Amino acid sequence: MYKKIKWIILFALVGLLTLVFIRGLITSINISSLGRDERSFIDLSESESSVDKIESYNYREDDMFIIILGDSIGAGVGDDRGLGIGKGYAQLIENEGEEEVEVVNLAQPGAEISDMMKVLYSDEAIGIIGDADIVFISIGGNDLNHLRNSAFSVSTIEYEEALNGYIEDLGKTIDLIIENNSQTQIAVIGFYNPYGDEVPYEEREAIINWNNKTHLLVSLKPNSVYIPTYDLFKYNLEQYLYIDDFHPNADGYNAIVRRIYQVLKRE
Amino acid sequence: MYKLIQNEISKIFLKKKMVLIAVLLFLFIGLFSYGEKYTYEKTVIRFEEITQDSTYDWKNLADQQMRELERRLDSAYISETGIRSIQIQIEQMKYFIENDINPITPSSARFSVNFVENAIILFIPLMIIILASDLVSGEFSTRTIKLLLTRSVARWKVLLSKYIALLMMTTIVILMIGVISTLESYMFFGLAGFDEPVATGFNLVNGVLDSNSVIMVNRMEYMVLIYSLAWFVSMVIASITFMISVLVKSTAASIGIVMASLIGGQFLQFFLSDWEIIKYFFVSNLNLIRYMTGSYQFIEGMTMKFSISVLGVWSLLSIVVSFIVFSRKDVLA
Repeated sequence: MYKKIKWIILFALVGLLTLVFIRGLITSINISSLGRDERSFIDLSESESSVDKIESYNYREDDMFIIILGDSIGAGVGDDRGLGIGKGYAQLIENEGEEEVEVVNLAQPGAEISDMMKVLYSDEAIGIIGDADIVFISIGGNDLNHLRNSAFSVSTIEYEEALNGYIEDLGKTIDLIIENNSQTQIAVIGFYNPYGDEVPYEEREAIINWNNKTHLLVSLKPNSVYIPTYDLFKYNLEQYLYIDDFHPNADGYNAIVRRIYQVLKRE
Repeated sequence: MYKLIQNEISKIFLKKKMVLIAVLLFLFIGLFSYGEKYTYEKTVIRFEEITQDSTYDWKNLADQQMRELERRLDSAYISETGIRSIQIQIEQMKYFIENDINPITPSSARFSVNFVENAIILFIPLMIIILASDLVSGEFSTRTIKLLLTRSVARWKVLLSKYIALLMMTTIVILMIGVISTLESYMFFGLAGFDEPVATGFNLVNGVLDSNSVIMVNRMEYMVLIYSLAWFVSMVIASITFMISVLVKSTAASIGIVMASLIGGQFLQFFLSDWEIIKYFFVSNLNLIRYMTGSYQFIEGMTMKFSISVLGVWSLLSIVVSFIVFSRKDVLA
């Protein structure tokens, strides 16, 4: 009798589990293919919310107007005060005098230079570039990080190609901004090395070489200036990095902003 | 037929295979959950060192993370989909903080899912190999195949009963993994966490994470989904191992062949991810769970439906080959 019950229980259990698992499997397939058909590649320039954001800014002739382009560092990720580079700089200016500062942050965390150019080439962005007094650009970190798994060394072809493509795109970006606004100042923020001395020599060389090429390009362009950060962070990693050990923290952003403040010209 | 299946299941029980699998699971899961507890405690110590805070409070950290996310929403050029993903993360964080659920401390429900996520490509298949590898070849090595086939039952029925018994026991193994990993890690963590919300349904499009289709489920539902995938994968491995066990006469050889293709297949994915044909190898498709979490894929353009179809075709072919070969085989032993 016991034996018979044992078998019945076994078969019933397996039957039940099989039903549950098959249902689960079907649900999983449905979940993972949700919206797969109607979705196309995300086109940033058509995203409505960002257009609203740009239209909602109220620009007045007397105000100083800052636009930020680029990646997570441009967006201010890691700053507990919520300021980042743009608003941090604005605060510094406002504390100094009566000038009001308007900031529009067009940076998106995770952006590579191609993403940034997509943002820039939208009609709305070009429209407001004409009003900008200063454009901050922080870009390339993700392009460089992209190489981290395979080719993080100056000697590799992948690095060479990525860097050349980046320099070309950055040149086009600056030209486009100046074409639309010959009065604006452009500040390009350089890289720091968030990994410290833990990383091998070639990786540090790769970062510095990237910085040097950027420096050369930016410094030769009109109205443009390169803001080095490598030296700022070199001995201050502990103090300047956010908990994620990658982005700057409030102090880190402050240090960058102070340097920008020393460099840019003011009327 | 029913009697035959009973007979085959009894044989698996007699060989103490289920006991072996249970012991292995118990040992390894114990090791892993102890390890996770250890790492977590180290993280806490490290956090206290960095913040110079005397007490570690997960709420502070979670709160900070949430404010960080909210601030990111203000950025002008985040795309619609990005906003949705962040909103879900914020929602998740809010839920954690409001309901006093610690998203950083390990819970047993989370461990149980993580374990399967990592074990699905190698550890679970190995458990199934223990079950399946000597199912037919074992009868040859011990020469009991003659006794089995001299009975007045059609050969295909004998084989079918073995196959059904295998699938049933595979199902039980998956249940065992769920029960053992949940209970044992609960002993270590003391936290069940079955009602936590989980975000799932991420998609990778052209290498970019797309969160259009993310939905919220609770941990319990999510666990069932993940275990269903593990179950399906185990069924496929069972079918393929079953075929190998029909094809070769030695149990050692059948174990070797399946293990070599499992491990070799992982290498192939790493090194030859450009090669189109790798997509159609069953090992490349074993990790179904990554389609749920949106994690990195070696080969582009693979989807859940694709992988499930490939695995389905492999197991169907295996069964067909098994039956053809077995019914034509000369038994000389």
